[in-house]
Amino acid sequence: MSPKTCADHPPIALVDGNCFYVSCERVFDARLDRRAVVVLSNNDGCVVSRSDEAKAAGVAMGEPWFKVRQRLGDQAVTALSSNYTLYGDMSRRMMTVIGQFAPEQSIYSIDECFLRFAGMDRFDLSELAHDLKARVYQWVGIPVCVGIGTSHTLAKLANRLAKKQPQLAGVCDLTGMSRSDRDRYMGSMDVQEVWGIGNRISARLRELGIASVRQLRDADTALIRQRFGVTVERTVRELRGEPCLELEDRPAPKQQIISSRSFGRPIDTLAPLQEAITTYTRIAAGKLRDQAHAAGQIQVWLHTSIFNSQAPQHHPSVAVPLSPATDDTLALVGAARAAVAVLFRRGHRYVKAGVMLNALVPATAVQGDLFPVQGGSIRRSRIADAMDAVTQRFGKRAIQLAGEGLEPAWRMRRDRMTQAYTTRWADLPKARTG
Amino acid sequence: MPRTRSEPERRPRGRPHNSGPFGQPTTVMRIPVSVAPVLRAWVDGHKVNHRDLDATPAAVNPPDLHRPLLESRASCGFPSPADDYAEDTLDLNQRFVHNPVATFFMIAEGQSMIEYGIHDGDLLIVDRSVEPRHQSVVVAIVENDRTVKILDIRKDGSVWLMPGNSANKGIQINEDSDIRLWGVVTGVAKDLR
Repeated sequence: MSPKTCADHPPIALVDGNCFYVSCERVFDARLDRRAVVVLSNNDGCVVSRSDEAKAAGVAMGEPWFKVRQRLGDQAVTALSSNYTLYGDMSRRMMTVIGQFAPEQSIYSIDECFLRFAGMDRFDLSELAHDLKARVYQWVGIPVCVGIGTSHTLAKLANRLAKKQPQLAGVCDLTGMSRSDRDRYMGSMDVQEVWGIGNRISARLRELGIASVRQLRDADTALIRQRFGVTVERTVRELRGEPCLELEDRPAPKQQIISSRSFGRPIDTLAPLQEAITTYTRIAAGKLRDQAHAAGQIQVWLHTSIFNSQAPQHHPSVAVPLSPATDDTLALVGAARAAVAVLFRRGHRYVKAGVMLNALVPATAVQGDLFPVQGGSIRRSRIADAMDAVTQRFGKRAIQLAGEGLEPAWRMRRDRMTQAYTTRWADLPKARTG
Repeated sequence: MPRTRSEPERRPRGRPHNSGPFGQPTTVMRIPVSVAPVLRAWVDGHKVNHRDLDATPAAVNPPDLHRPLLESRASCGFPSPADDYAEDTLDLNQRFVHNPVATFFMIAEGQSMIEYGIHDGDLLIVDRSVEPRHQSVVVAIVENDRTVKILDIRKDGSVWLMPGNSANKGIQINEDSDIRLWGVVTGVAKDLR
């Protein structure tokens, strides 16, 4: 990597929560510490988060729970259902704290965000990253890893190193490393660990003799472009420290879709806030449909400037359940606008807002909830009327949509869900005074 | 010809009011052809099935809404000359929650902290970002359970968790103890009803 000063390309950090869903649960239930724990997705009972202990026990990401049980037995691993409301709130807290460490933050998913350290030449980023890690753990209880590089691809690579190499203690700053150290690390990593390089591309790269990240970094860009296209070529340039791939060009994470931006200038009235949220929701809805998913929950949040401590602070957020899950832009926009109207308070200057679509299910398997919370988005067809008549006469289980599937696997399994510890009065954790 | 004798009131003919597809009065509107499909779909979504027991409009009634402890009133109706001088209504959050991202609420259980003003069922405001000091009321994880204790930093440097009730023994925290400080209780809210 040719030496570049901070001014050329400000360092970028990727900060992400370690086994985020499991970590959220551990904050409120100490019995889960140091144990094999998994969190299951609610629509198909597959593992979406696993503790290090569960990983060591051989649980694979995305594995269906019944298979894990078969293989390892009931007692070996504790399974919990997804508590999206809790994770959304903990994510908001975590992201706000992380955002205190750099002038620019882009939230990528529920547990990952990028920071851009523009104009921070004097800072020891490694030390800053350790402070950040300590503060997030102290204030919110979530362990995070930090990877720093001069491009998003490098930041993500550094983050993987931070996780895998214990001597790095959760922080890897490629910009602060000697060239030989960087070469050594990149030489030890398989090309498939690079963001955007999947099975097929890495197999073809290996045929060309490119097996390590270092080899990919040093490959001839013209050849790469010719054989693999411009995106992979840009990935190579990113490995060299040159940021040239936008976050929008990256695939969206599967578990949730986030659309969040800072405003061009602070907003202190409701109407422009509504417009901004409408735009973010529309963008997120488009991505949702691209993925052929429907969302069962939408979370909306606002931020006042964290750098202006004189002004009144307000970082509200609300999670709105969508029943049934929907991919309809109008329904999502309606829910988001209603949410913003509730969050907004006069006298505050908001600088950022965001929308997250959560509880994603495949669009074809939307549960036919016959008494949906929103009246507007379901078109009451004659079929729906007939279903109502059958249900009224014979009971709720008598009839269901064929698209729901006949296997119990489709049923939203929430029997192992914990409480909404931070968002519902009735669910507050208890503390014994004895 | 004027009616000369009283007739039974004419039965209203035709469709009853508000029984059409929308359950409310409608109007005719000219729109650009290009937006017609989008608007048609949007309008269709407002059709009402008269068999719905509650035909609530698209406004969402989300059960998960959290409200600040004391809701500041939104102004509605005509703007008033007083608006420019209006101050925000007082919000308990501003007084008791100093670092919202690091503040969590818990419910106290048991009577052993009465001497410290904490009763069974009280709301505890727990701040994870505050540095615990000698005599801080803390939430500590003891044997995987959340407990409320007093932090006692003794002259010899040893750190102890003391119960509110002097009948119970204190617990020393050292490197091997499986005890963690979760946060500092910075406030208590009591419902006296």
